[in-house]
Amino acid sequence: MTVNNSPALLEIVNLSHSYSRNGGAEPVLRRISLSIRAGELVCLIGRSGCGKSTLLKIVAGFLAPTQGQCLLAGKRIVKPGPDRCVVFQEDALFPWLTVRENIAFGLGGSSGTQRRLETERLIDLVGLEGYGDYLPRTLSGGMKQRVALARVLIRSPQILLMDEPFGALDAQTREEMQELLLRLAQKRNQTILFVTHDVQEAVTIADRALVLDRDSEQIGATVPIALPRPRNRSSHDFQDLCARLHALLRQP
Amino acid sequence: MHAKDIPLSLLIPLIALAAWQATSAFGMVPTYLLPPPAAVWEAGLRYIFAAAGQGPYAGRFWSDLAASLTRVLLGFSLAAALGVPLGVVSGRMALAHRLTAGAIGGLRAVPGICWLPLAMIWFGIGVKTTVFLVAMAAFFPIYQNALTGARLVAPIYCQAGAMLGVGRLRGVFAVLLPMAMPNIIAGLRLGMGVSWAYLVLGELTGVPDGLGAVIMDARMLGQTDVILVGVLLIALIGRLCDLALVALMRLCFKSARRQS
Ligand SMILES: Nc1ncnc2c1ncn2[C@@H]1O[C@H](COP(=O)(O)OP(=O)(O)OP(=O)(O)O)[C@@H](O)[C@H]1O
Ligand SMILES: [Mg+2]
Repeated sequence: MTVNNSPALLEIVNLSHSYSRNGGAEPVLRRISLSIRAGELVCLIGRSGCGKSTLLKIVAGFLAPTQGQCLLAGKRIVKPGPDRCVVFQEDALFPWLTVRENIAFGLGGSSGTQRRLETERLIDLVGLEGYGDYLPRTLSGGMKQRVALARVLIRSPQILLMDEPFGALDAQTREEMQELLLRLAQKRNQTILFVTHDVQEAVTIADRALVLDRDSEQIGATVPIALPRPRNRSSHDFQDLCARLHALLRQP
Repeated sequence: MHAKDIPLSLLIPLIALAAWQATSAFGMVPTYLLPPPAAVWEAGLRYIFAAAGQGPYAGRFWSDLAASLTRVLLGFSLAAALGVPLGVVSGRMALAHRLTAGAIGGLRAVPGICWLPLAMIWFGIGVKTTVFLVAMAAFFPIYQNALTGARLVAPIYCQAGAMLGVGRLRGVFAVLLPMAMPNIIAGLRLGMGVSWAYLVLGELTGVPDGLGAVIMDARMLGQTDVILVGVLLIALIGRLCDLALVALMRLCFKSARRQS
C-alpha cells in the first residue's frame, strides 16, 4: 500500500469552498492543496463541522467548489462518475433492491451471465455469502456497509471515497470492517480517501493522515503513518501516533 | 389486509346490519324510508341475476357495471397519466413547480361539483362529462402525492445513482420513481376513491346506464331498496378497485412490492 514513487492520482489545487447562507458566504474550506498517489490510503481527520464531508462531496463531483479545482489522473472533476465512488456514512442503499440487486446496480445493462458472475464474486469478496436475496432493511449496520462497499467496488473506481463509513458501528464490527477494507485495498491496490474523526481508526488503516483544521479551514498537518502492517494497537508507536494526532486535533 | 384481519373488519358492518334488521323488525321506520335487509337482498339478487325484462331493474347490473367501470377507469387513467409525471417533475424542478403551482392550486380551490354545469355544456350528457369530472377530481390527490414523494427523495440516493453511472434521465426511472413509489401509490389510491365519488355525480345527470344512474332512477320511482342496492354495490366495487389497484402496482413494480 505504501507506494512512494507512483504518480499523483488525485490532485487538489488551491481549493476553496463557501456555502451561501442568509445571503452571505460562509467559508468552509480555504485554499486547500493536497495530492494522493495511486494505491495510497489517506485518512482525512478533523473535528465535527470542519468541512470533511464538503471536501469529499467536491471530489465526488456532487458539489462544485467556489474556487480552485480537483484533478483525477490529470482530468478535471466536474460531475459525479463511477471513477470516484463514495461509501456514505448514512444508509444509502436502495431500499427496494435486494443485496444482490443493489450490488449489481452499477453494472447497468451489461450482459446476463457476466453480470451475475461479477455480482456473486463481490458478494463473496465482502463476506455476504447467503445474503444475496435479503432486503437492506433486514440487514445489520455492518452488513449494510458491506453492501455499500461492494456496490461501489463493482465499478472498480480509481479512487474510493469513504465518509466516516464505520462511524455508526460498534467497536467490534468497526474493527472487522477495517480489516476487510485493508484486505481489499491491498488486494486491488485501491486508492482510498477516508474521512474519519476517530484517531485510532486513522492510525490503524492509513498510510498518511491529514488533519483538517476548523479555524484556519486548511490542512493543519500531514502525518505519515509508517507503522508495519498488520498494526498492533497496543504497541508504543501506535499509541504515540494516536496521542500526536489527538494533540493536533485539540489545538486551538 | 391480512386474512386474519377479515373477521375483525367485518365486525362493524355486521353490527350495522343487525341494527338495521332490528329497526325493520320492530317497525320503527316505515319501509318506504328503509326497507328491511331481506327486501334489499332480494332486490339485489333480482338486479344482478334475474333475466332482463322480469321487472324494472332485473338483470341490468352487468351492463351498468361495465358502463360505470369504463368511465371510472378512463377518468382515473387520464388523471394518473397527467398527475404522476406533472407531480414528479414539479417535485424535483423548482422552475416547473413555480410554473404549475399557481395554476394547479387555483384549479384545486374550485370544488369538483362546480365543473358539472360547465362539463354538461361542453360535453353534453354522457360518457365524456363523467370522465371529465372523474379525471378533474382524481388529478389533485395523485399530483400532490407524486410531488411530495419526489420532493422527499433524499439527495443522497440521487448522488448514489449518479456516482454509479446512472445519467439524469435514467436516474428518474432507476432511482427517483422507485423511491417515490410509496407516495405515488398513496396518491393513486386516494384518486381511485375520489373517482367513484365523482362517477356517481356524473351519472346523476341523466345518463341511461351506470350504477349512479340506477340510484337516481330508482329515487324517481320511489324504489328505496334499489337505491340501497346501488349504494352497497358501489361501496363493494370501490373497495375491490382499491385492492386491484394495489395488487396491480405490486405486480408491476418491485419498488411497490418491497416498500410497504
Ligand atoms: N448544504 C449546506 N449549506 C450550508 N452550510 C452547510 C451545508 N453543508 C454543510 N454546511 C456547513 O459547512 C460546515 C462543514 O460541514 P461538513 O458537513 O463538511 O462537516 P464535517 O467535517 O463533515 O462534519 P462531521 O464530522 O460532523 O460530519 C458546517 O459548518 C456546516 O454547517
Ligand atoms: Mg461529515
